[in-house]
Formats: sequence, C-alpha cells, structure tokens
Amino acid sequence: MSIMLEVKNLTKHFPLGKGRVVHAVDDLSFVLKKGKTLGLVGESGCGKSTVARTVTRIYEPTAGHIFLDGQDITSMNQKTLKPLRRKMQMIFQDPYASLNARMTVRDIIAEPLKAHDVTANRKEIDELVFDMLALVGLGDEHARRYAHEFSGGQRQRICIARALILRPDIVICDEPISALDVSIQAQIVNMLKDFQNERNLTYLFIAHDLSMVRYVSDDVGVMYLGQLVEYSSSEAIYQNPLHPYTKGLLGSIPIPNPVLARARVKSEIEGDLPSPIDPPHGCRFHTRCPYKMDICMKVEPLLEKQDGEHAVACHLYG
Amino acid sequence: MSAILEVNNLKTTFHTGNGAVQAVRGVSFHLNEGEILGIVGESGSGKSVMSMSLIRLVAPTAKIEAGSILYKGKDISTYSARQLRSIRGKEIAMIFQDPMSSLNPVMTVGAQVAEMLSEHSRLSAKERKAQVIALFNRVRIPEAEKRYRQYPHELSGGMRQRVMMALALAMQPGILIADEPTTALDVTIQDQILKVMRQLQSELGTSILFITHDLAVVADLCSRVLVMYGGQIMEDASIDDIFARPLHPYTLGLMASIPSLEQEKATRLVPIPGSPPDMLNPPAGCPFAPRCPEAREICLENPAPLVDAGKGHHSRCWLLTEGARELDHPFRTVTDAMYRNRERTEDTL
Repeated sequence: MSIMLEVKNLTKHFPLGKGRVVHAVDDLSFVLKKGKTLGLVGESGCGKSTVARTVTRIYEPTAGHIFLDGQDITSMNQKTLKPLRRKMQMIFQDPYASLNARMTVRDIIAEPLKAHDVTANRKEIDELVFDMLALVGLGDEHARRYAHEFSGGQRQRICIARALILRPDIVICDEPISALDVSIQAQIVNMLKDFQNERNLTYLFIAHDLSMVRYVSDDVGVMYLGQLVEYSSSEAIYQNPLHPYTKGLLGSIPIPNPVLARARVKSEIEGDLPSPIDPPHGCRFHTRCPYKMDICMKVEPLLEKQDGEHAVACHLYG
Repeated sequence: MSAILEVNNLKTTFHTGNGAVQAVRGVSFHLNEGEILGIVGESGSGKSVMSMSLIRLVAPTAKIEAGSILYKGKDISTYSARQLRSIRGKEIAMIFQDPMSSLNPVMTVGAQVAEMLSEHSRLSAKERKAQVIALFNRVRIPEAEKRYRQYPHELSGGMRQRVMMALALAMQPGILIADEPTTALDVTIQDQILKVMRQLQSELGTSILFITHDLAVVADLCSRVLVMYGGQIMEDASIDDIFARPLHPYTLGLMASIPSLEQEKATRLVPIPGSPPDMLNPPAGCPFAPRCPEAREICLENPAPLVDAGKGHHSRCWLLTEGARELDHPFRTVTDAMYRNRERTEDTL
C-alpha cells in the first residue's frame, strides 16, 4: 500500500522564555496510508492539534521530518511548498470561527481556487462552487448568503466544500464534529466517509470522541503528553488495548446502554494531565498509571511492535 | 417515593426584536427525592432555559408562565424575587458547563466557598475553613489544603468543576441542577465527575437534575430521563425502558446516530435529516415532524398528544395513538437493530 503522509520523529516545542519549553509534540512517528483514515485520540492538551498544524506546516517543526506523497516538506520554502499545499487541506473544529463573517459562501468556497490560481473565470468558478455546494448537500441559493445565516452543521458543510474544491489527496480533520449536535454529527461523518470512498481521500482524523474515532478510522494512534503511546489498527486497539492509558480512556467512555454500563468493570484514570512544560521523567503516564513499576519512573519506554502492527510504549510489555 | 419537585405546564418566552422566541412550550415533569433525572436534548431544545426558569435565572425580558412549580409542596412560581433568593443556592443549587465563567478570578477558590458559608451561616473563620476543606474532600479534590489557597486559573477544568460542586453543595441543597457539567471535559475527567455525582446522590441523598446532550452519559448515571425537543418533552421513561423500547422517532433517531463501540464499521450511521426548528416560528404540529421520516399530515398540523405506554413511559407522538395502531411502526429497520442489540446484551450477561 502506498503512503500518503509520513511523519518521522516529529517534535514541536514552544519556547516560553527563561529556558522553559512546552513539549507539545515529542518524537512522533506515524504513516498515513493512501485512501485510509488514521485517527488520533487523546485528552485535551496532549498535542493532537499541534500535530495537525505541524504536518501542514502552519507551525514550523522543531525537529523531525514530514513526507507528503514521498517528498520531504519539512524545510521546503513557502514558494516550493505552495503547489503541494493543494494536496493537503484542513477542516477545523469550530465552524463559527473558521469562516469569514464578511464573505459570501460563494467567495469562501472559491477562495482556494484564487489562492492557487486555478481559474479566474467567474463562470467557471461559479460552476465549481455550485458543484461543491450540491456535493455537500446545500443548494445554489445558499451561495449568496453569509456564514451567520447557517446552522453549525451547515457551516461545517461549507468548510468541507472549501477543503475539497481543490480535489486534495489528504484532508486533516481537526475535531470536525466535536462542536456539532449528535444528530448532525452522523450527517457529517457519513458525508466524509462517502467522499473518501468516491475520491480515495486520505484522512487524518483528530478527535476525543473515541467511539466516533473507532467508527471512522482504519488505524488509531493514542497520544499522551505529546507522545504516541499506542498505535494499531482500530479493531485491535478497541478489542485488545494494551497501554494502561488506552484501557483507561476506553473504560471512561460512557456506554449508551444501561445494562452494559452497569455490567462493565471500570478501569479509571485518576488525576489530571500533567503539565507539558515539565513532563514527568521516565514514562510520562506514570503519575496516573495503576500499574506503575520502579522502572517507569526512570526509563522512558519506546514505542515497540508487539503483535504485527500493534505497537505500544509501555514497560509492562518490555 | 415522593416528588421533591413538581413542574406543571412551564412556558418561557423571550421577547426579542425579531419576535417572540418560544423556548419552553408547556413542560410538565416531576423529580423524585434522591433521584438523578436526566434531561436530554440538542442545542436549542430548551433544556437549559427550562431548568433556569425553575428558579427564574433567565433574562428579565423573558416571560415565565407556569401552572405551578412545587418545591417540597410549596409553589415557588408565585414567590417574590426576595423569597426566591432564599431558595436559590440554599435549596436549589446549580452548576454550569463552563466553571471558569462562574468563578471569581481574583479570589482564591477556598475563599469563594467560605464566602458562601458566611452568607448563610454563623461560623468562625476557623470552622468555615474546616468545612470548606471537608467539602473539597467530599468532591474528591486532592490536596485540599493547597487548593484552598489557589485561584481558579491555577486549576484544571475538572478541578474547577469540583470547586463549583463544592460551592453548590455548601448549603446542602435539596436539588442540584447540573447543566452540561461535563461537556467541556475530557472523557477521563468526565468519568471522575460522574463518580462524584453518584456519590453525592447515594451519600447525601441529593436529588439531581442532570442536563446533557449525551445519551450515553444518561445511560451511565440517571435512573429516569426526559427527552426534549423544540421546547417540549417528547418522551420520558426509566433508563432501562427507554433503551429497551424507545418509542419516539426522535429518540430512535438520536440512538441511531451515535456509533456504539461494537458498531460494525460497514454499517452506516443513520443521521436525522435536516436541522432543529426555529423557535421564533415553531412548527404548528409536532416540532419534530419536519425531520421525521414517518411524519403524517396530522403530525404537521396538530400538536401531538402525550401517549401513556405503561411503566411510567410516555411519548408525544401521533403514531402511538389509538387510530394509528394499524400503521407500521416507524423506523422499522432501526427498531429491529435495537432489538437485536438488546438480545445481544442479555446474552452477554
């Protein structure tokens, strides 16, 4: 299977001054296979969104390499990068903040065409925009309206239209459904899945809703304090989670079924996420881990393959 | 079991420049003593406005009309603003989704809870502090002594929500209204907060009105649930009953649009088409009718009656009324799937 995006030892630190540093992403490696979906999950503050913004070069990586369709884009200058950006588009969490309130929907969806000099012909632009609107389930009559006239779900459809108009190969979805109502989430997820099948799109799907991530993803990476602690096919991670953090995360999802909810044995994670400014030594999860051993406080576990593709960073499996 | 709160025909309307927004349109329910009652609904369903209307915490432009709001047998809907002040916080306390905007940023969290105590009781400073620490321990705030001296910005979201709970519990209220208290939190932290909620209910016997958009949280926490849509209660039932036999097409739709952890990937989610109604101009009939795949003409024209389905289970749907019995049950495929799920559940136990 060919690889759409490869990230090797990606690190992103934000300096705070006085030598203090936020370790947002530390030594992260993963691959995104063409036409597949990789889900990234973790608590807020674990660095998921920083990954999204660093692989798209919105943030400059501190170290490591990013390969887009085989090309190393890590230190490419903006001019050479620009044509490649067409291949990679993004959808954000907040459809209220990510649409310009003073532009019509037509201009919003057409903006990527202008930015990449695809066409300046008004008629052609209109046609492409109308096609996109139809694709995301909106009508031509919506083109002249402004973002505030739409509901959250409709706005997210506009964001999707804008992301897909350049026919990208890969779409980075940073919590695309978290801000939406449950009944609308399913509409958007079904739409994203259909587009993937029709256009062989590759998704990096970032979310904290684990049941949704399992549903949309082929592979799943679990992040904790800037690091990947487990990585596998989504089936394996949900059926046989290895890392204590993954187990705890799965154990804390409420089950929409009262009988099962009462029956299950809970493995609860105590406490809060430690600060990424001064992450714990050794395994970063040891401060909250119920299976902590002496070695966990001293030696950082590496992400190692256990069973086929299933990799985990934990001394319990060393 | 006796009801601590009984609400009859509550209506809340906001008069705006664009017209009257009918946020709550005739809601009646009761909350039993020591019970956790879930209120589920999407944004705009009226669930928050409804709960805030109970203690008149809505903007002065809002008009609240109620048949009655009986708290421990007394009709608080007729109370004056001053009388109501003695109810708020002391008898009926509330916590919100965003604890940061409910806490004073320039006061330590300990002092804020202590202030609450000094407002309502005569304790020495030392006793107050001891009581605050005891409250912090009850809501499982670790290192309570240290947290006492910290400011809200120094705490995580989960910790702040615990402080809010300590604040709400300071006066040992009869009812705690929790409006989406875990929505902004991570699942791990949500889990911890829900545990504290359960503890409060079992140890202190606090009756809790738990408002959320998440059916799964309700399944985990509550004993009974009201499903709200378009300012009305669409369905109410015990937790076991509503998951075993959901009767309203909206409830069925909600259940079909969330993937369960066992959901087959090849199966598609069944979203509810369209979007929620505009409450400036609510539909004449059932508010869900414009999105309901099973809607008949009568649904669009006339408000649906509340149908009693036995075992305290009610559903506001025309399809369940006498004349509609011969019709196929709505959402046949969805209900079939649900029944399969239920059988599987029983197998695994």
